[in-house]
Amino acid sequence: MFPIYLLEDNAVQRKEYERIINNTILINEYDMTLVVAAEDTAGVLSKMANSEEGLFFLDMEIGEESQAGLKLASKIRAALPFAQIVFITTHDELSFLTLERRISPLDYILKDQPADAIMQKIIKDISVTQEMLKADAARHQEIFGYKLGKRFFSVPMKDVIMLSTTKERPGCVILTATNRQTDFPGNLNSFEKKYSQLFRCDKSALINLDRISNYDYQNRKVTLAADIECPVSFRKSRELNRLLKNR
Amino acid sequence: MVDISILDSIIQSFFLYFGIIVVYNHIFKRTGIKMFIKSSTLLILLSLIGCLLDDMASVIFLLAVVIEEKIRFGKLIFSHLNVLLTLLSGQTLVFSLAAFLSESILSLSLGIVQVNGLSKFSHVLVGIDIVIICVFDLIALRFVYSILKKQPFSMAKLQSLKIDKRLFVFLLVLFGSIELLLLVGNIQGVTATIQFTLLIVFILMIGLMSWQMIEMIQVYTRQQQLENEKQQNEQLSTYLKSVEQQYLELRKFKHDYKNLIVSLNTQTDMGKVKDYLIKANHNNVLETSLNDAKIAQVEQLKDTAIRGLVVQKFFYAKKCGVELNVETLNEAFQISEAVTIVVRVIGNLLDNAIEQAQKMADKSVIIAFNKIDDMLEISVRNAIDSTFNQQQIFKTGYSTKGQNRGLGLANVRELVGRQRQFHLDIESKAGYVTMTLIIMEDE
Repeated sequence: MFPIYLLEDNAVQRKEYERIINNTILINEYDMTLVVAAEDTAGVLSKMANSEEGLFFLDMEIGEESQAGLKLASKIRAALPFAQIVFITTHDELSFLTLERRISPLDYILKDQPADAIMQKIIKDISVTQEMLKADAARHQEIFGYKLGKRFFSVPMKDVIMLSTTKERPGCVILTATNRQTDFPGNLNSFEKKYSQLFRCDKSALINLDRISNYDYQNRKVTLAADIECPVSFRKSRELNRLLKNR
Repeated sequence: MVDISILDSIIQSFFLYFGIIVVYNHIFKRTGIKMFIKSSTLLILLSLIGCLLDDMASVIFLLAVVIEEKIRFGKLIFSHLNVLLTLLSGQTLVFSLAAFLSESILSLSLGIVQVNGLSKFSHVLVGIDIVIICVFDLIALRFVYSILKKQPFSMAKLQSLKIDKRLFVFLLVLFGSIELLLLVGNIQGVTATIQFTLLIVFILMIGLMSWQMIEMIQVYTRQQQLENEKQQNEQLSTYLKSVEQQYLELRKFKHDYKNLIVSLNTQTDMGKVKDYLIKANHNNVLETSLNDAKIAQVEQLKDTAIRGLVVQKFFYAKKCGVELNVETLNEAFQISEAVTIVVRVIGNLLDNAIEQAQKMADKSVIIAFNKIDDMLEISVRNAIDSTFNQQQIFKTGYSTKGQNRGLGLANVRELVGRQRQFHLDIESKAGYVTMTLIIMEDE
């Protein structure tokens, strides 16, 4: 059973959210359960000890502490990297971009809107999570991971378009993905070994074979998603051709 | 060539390295029993190696120090090596000069024409040699000391110029040349006279080079100073701009209040005054951005340059009809290095974001300052629409010949690319784009 956790210090609101969550599970017959409706962070932490996943609805401000929800979310992220986190908060407590960078939550639910809107949001978040679970079960989603300092970042493999290096910045890999571009220290060789669907088409580029939209064998030029063009070295052109034919 | 006995050779080497080690320890204030024992052991070892390998012992000494630093600190400390190289080169020169002088004195006083004839008097020769070395060393030290006294030329200043590495290469080449000269001289059995002539030419060359180098350093220092001044001027003008904008805000505010007071004055009925105030409140006349919570967060930014920039952009955004929100999560945010580059990157990112936001329905830009684990993050986020050419933005990462140089992003990339611990992360999601500058703290 997929666990759901709720943190809210206001007793009336907590009862209300609890009711919405339980009803949603019941009506849709989801394979989920509300593990705990806690009034403080300790209540959530004690119940999530032996869990590997979960959907968390967290109130940002608990009692006097205005960042309690964020602190708890950081702990949850560290323990369960793939947990779904939803913040329930008033508008002025919200540091939107900060949360996005630190926690990357599934959603935000603003308290200062009608009760009905809040309910709809909670229902939507539960069903979105359910959809994700189904999708994950259908085909185990592959993740492309990289490290920056002590932090681990991940991008779904299906989003990755290419990895490249430039002469201007040796020792630095540029990741281009759908809706994302970033750079981090590393080298292409290690990624080439680690991920089989990444193809070394040139000494400075690794491309995702699933994201090739066109390959010009004559001019040895491959076109990837988002119209990114990449040259293919003479040595690799035949291999790439063979690989693409066999697909 | 004069053959001298092993003992003499050991004593000679001993004095050669004695001077170097003592001065080196003095410069870096290495004192204590442990250091003394270490230095003594090193000295004895070097003396023994020196008697076998002659001048090549200096090369071995240098290599040993390089390896030791590599092991102990994981990298080379150029300031230490520079001092060592200078000392080694200087001492080698003094040594050769002393050899020439002692041989000359002895052969003149004994009336020996053939240099080989001096081999019989090797003890005396070495004695005179050592005396001359000591005298020269003392004179040289005295001379350097008096120069340093006149012109405070501290190690810290040299380090601040960041020319350590270049200086090291220069000194290394110099040292290598001297060693080569001596090595070939020894193998070929060149007499001290010829060696001395070669060295004199060499010293002249060094003198010329040093003079040139000092000149170069001075020019370089001045250049750096100018650069700094330029940057300061830029910051000052940024600051002035922000003050100007704040002043304009204040004036507008004052104007609103004046109007309010004037209209209050015309009212005689208390009830009407109340009505008016309620209305005014309702119309946000009293609301002001001056002490807005959004901008109050800049207090957490500890670098004045960055704070100034954010404040300036805040007012600039306001002028453009865009709302700039600052998020700092109530914790101090301080950047330890390359602040000027960070300022330029953020300035560019904010300009882009404000320009883009102006065209959007959601006219707001968020800038967030985060400290996560061992890295600092500065994120700028704004709304985008379909005209926002994502592909081009992404493309430029691979080919810098992209066409969107006008976006200022190419500029940002270049700035970020120059700094090893800087990384740029661009993510677009659900109609918003977030550009994040990531700064790794530890090095």
